[in-house]
Amino acid sequence: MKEYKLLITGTMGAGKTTAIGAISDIAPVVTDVANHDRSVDKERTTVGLDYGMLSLDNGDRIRLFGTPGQARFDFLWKILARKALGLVILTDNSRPDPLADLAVYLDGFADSLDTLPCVIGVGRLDTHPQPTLDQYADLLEARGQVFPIIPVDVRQRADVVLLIDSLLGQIEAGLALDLDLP
Amino acid sequence: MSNLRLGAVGMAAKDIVYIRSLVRLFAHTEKLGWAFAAHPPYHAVVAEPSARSANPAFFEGFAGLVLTLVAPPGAPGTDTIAYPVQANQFRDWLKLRETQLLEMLYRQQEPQTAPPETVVPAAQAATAVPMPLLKRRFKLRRWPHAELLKVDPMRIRMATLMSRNALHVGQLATLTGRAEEDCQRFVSELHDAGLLVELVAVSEAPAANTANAASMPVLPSVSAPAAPALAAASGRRGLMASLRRHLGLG
Repeated sequence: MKEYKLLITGTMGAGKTTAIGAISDIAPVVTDVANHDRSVDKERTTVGLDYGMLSLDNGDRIRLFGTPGQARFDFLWKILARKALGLVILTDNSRPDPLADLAVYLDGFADSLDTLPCVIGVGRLDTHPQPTLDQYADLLEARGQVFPIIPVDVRQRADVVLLIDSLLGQIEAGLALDLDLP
Repeated sequence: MSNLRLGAVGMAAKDIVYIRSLVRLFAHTEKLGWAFAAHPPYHAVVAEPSARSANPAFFEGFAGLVLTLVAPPGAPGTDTIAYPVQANQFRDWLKLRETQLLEMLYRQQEPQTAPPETVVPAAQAATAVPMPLLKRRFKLRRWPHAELLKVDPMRIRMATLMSRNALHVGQLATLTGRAEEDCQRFVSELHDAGLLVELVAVSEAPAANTANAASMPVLPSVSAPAAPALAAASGRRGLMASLRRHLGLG
């Protein structure tokens, strides 16, 4: 049996815990406490790692880790990113500056992002259409990065699965090169 | 991301292992865009001097992208490096050549007939680039506009694949299970929108190198991908398949 890990990160309230709960085989282990950050309308927030798991038919396990959202935990992000299969960055379009939020995570995981598959999931786009997906793409282009940018409702399992599928696609693209696929 | 192919020619097996390890290390620690390639086409090669003198026609196609090993006390030059290879010198050469090579590849992407200051509309640029796209390897330089993706999961999947590595239409079709015609249509749209960068192996570049390419020998120094790499890739494919089944992705 082998074990792998997938990371889900993003701002407080972006839905990391919900996303894990949408696909995990086990009830997510959460480390939420009462939220005292009055800038975010949310009763509880994650201070440690949220955790879920996928048990595959070949015996392998995928561990799902939701990182604490606040940038002061960025030391933890770097540790978690080591040997991860991929990274999901969730943004919340209802926040004041979602693009700046995204930049925080792109910077925080910068050491890994050249090799680590990554996808951006944009939440609450239906109620908050700005910034648009194209503006997200512009930000990445300005940084010389290309990652999939996908609208997501983390309460919908299919949406979360699409994010994971995007990570798998990136891994497969790498394998195509390794195997010199004709 | 590792899209530039570095080969080793005429070298001893232990040296090839060493070079391959350094390339892999630098891809992670230095974020260099090189990957070790076991067989042509190459963007650049590291070579023993004897291999170079034995088959000069092969090396003409690389036009300056050959790093030749020299035994001390030979003074290392721009494209020579003392043997045994010092990791830092090798890294510096890879960095320098990566920058130059990528600039060259970008220039090749631009229409040759347009004056430098002329902005060529995407559609016009598309007609200036020879078709078909079938065997050309492209990578996304920017995530596509929403209108182009049409909220179509398959288009998102194809774009995702091309965001990671330069692929040709056949590879896209294999990886997605879609018909080549569908993949080619999407690639053409990306191409017309100016969202693609083409990776061209220097040894495969048209015009100047055609004659060399036609007679290009496959040197015997590295004849097959390393078995551990293939095994690891195969294992990773099994994981992907299992995870897809688990998530109901078929």
